[in-house]
Amino acid sequence: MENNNVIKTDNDLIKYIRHIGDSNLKKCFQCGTCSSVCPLSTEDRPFPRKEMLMAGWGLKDKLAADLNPWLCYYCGECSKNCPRKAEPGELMMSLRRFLISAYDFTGISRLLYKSKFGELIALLAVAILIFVEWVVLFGLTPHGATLNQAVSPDKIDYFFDWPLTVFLGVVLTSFIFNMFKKTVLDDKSVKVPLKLYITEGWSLLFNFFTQYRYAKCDDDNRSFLTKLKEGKYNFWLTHLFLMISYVSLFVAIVFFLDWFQDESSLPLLHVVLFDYFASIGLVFGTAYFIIKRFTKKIERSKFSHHTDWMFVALLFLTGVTGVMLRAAIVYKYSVPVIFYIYLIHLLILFPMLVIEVPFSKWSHLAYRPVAIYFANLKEKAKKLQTAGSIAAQPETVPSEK
Amino acid sequence: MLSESNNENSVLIIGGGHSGVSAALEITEATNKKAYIVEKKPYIGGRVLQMHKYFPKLCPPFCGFEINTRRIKSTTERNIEFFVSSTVEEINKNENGKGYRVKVRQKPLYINDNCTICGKCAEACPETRPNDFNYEMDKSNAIYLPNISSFPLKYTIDGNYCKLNTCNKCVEACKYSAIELDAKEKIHEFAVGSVIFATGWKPYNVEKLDNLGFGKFKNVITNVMMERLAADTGPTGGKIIRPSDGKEANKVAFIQCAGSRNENHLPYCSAVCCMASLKQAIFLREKNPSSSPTIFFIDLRTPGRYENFLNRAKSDQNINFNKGIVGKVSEDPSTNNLILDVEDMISGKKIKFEADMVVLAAGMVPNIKEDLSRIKLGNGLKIEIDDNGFLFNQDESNGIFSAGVSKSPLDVYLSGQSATSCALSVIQYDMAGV
Repeated sequence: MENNNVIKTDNDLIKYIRHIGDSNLKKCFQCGTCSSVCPLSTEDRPFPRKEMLMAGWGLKDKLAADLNPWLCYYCGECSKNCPRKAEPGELMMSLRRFLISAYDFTGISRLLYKSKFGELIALLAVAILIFVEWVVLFGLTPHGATLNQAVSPDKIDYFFDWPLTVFLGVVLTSFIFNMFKKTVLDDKSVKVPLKLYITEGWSLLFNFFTQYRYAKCDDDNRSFLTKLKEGKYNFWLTHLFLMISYVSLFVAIVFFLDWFQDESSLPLLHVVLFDYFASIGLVFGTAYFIIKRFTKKIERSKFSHHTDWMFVALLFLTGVTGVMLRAAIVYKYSVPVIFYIYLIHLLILFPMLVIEVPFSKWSHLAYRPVAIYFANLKEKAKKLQTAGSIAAQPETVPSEK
Repeated sequence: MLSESNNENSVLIIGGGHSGVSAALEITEATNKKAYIVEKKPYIGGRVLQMHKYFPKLCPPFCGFEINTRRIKSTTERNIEFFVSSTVEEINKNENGKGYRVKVRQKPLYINDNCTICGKCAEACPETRPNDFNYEMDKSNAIYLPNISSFPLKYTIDGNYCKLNTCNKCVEACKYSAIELDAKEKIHEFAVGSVIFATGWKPYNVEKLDNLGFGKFKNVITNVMMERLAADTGPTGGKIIRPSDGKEANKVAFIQCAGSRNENHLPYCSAVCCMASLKQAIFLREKNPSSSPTIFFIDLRTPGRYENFLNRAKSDQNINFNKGIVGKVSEDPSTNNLILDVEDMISGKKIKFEADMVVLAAGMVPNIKEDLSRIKLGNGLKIEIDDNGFLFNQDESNGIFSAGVSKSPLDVYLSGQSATSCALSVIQYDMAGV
């Protein structure tokens, strides 16, 4: 450790962390049970004991540079075994909320996390903007005999979908760069060679598309199939199903909106992939998590912050109105009916995307795989460094016979 | 033996361990009061006799307890009455609100004072029983000498395992007519002025800590079992060996706070385990110079002068300390070695530590709650114990006192002190009442 550094503590940060989660972090007496029972933490990366300490002391810079909260999947072993009932698992959840606001240099996230009303007002503001935009482009009543005349897919693309995609892309990328700077660039103890960024790229994609770390929550030696049968993987598979549904719908709607507005001549793939698979995934998945949050039976659903509720609720409503809209198109409802469902769908969808994606809970979809990628980079780089320094050292120590 | 007495000034002491006996001695030496000690075991002395050595002086238990037995025999013997193998059935408050009437049930005493502990009876005995004195790590005959410092010093019969008159082999073997298999249980009733609970403790049931593998893996034992393994009179004759294969235990892991300081188990600190584990590490090193104990701890609690004892342990290079508590113990089935998942906070790494044997520092659970549940309290008498199960001065104004671990988790030395302070409280209580 740096000897000349004065440890800077931040009391407001401690208050903030306690505000955005239900961890009793001040009860922690640093026994280390949490780190040792954690199935996800590794030899060189034990957590969450250190995070409990850093949060309890308000070590802002250290916390902002910490990737471990993203490597935690809230298996709950730590909270179950904690002798102080300090809820370390919930602390890691709170830290993820803190990190989302730390990567966001605009300060909006912090506002949303701090205040329930702040979040509602932000969502409402976006909804009003979308409503005005809609009225300007399409009017309050449908003009035209067909849907495509009343609501032109091109206009939706040009004035809604694509600007949004660009906005999200720019904002999210800048936040991820901020994260990259805090966690990798500013870490003077390790320098990541350029080559590693490419060779480790697979881990980014692998973790994004499999969320495999969820499966590691059950680290006993029983077979995959037994655990699957026992329902140990239900949460993971539901989450994965929901994510894949969401991503495929998002990509398809942004780039192929025509497919969704067209009631005839659909390719079979579309029906199977979007109308069934992804729609079911979206509605079933969000309903599953809402039920889990209500019943509070498993550790990771025991506590819910208002942003958690808002996120699942909006995603659920987006899914439901989307399915209704699609059904209305496929079953040839009258144009005004479709017109208004369409409007309602957008009034829910856009606030969710604009607010939740870069500034709130949604962003974990991006930060989690990126954090795993960064963590892998740093670990590999460290290994290369130590291997390099050992090789560079002359044999001053006599080797043991 | 007296079975009826009306000494209003006398005191009932429930529990004949170190605290109970110490309190009885202090009271009877200082006043002319009579003390009745009711002990459920067939001998006086309690848990201290099961220790291999005391900390911090590392002397054997009889050296401490012997002083007590000598004091009993010298001046005050006639003023202390012992009921061994006995339990209190009823405590009834007197009508005038002062003093109690007590009913004690004593199991049949099959052995009379003729016993010379020659041991012929045990040789003849065909029945066996799990030896509770050695925490059931071995067996004894159904007729047995509880331990070498037994007081009263005579054999005893475990009524749950002895076939009594249908067998009679011990009676035939005994040359001194010391065995009376037709002995009956007795009820003793007497009046007392005050009651002292000195009911002691038992180790926490560490099977409830299912992560730590006690009961699942043979080589996971508790600290109290370690005392018996080390004792010359223990099941292994003083050799510290692994239960699974009898091999000498070299790499021994001591896991602190097994149950204690844990809100899912015992929320309080048991106060003795840090010193006990340090002591055990030291005597393990003395007995087996090639051993290397490691103590896994949250923080080591060695207050006051006990710090010197910690320094003594630390001065041994082969006694290791790991800051960080063990989260999980698993077993390597081929060697029966144990693998400990633990964070080493100093190096900041999470390690897998392989040990020959694991000793869990089981917390102390006060017996008083369980014992109270078997006693019928009459005439509006209520005894309040706190959330953790201790009786801490709550009922002193009624003449109900506590000493030793009934009061709070204490080591032997402080139990003696608490007994002395309790004795003074009893005397003051009676003086105030005059």
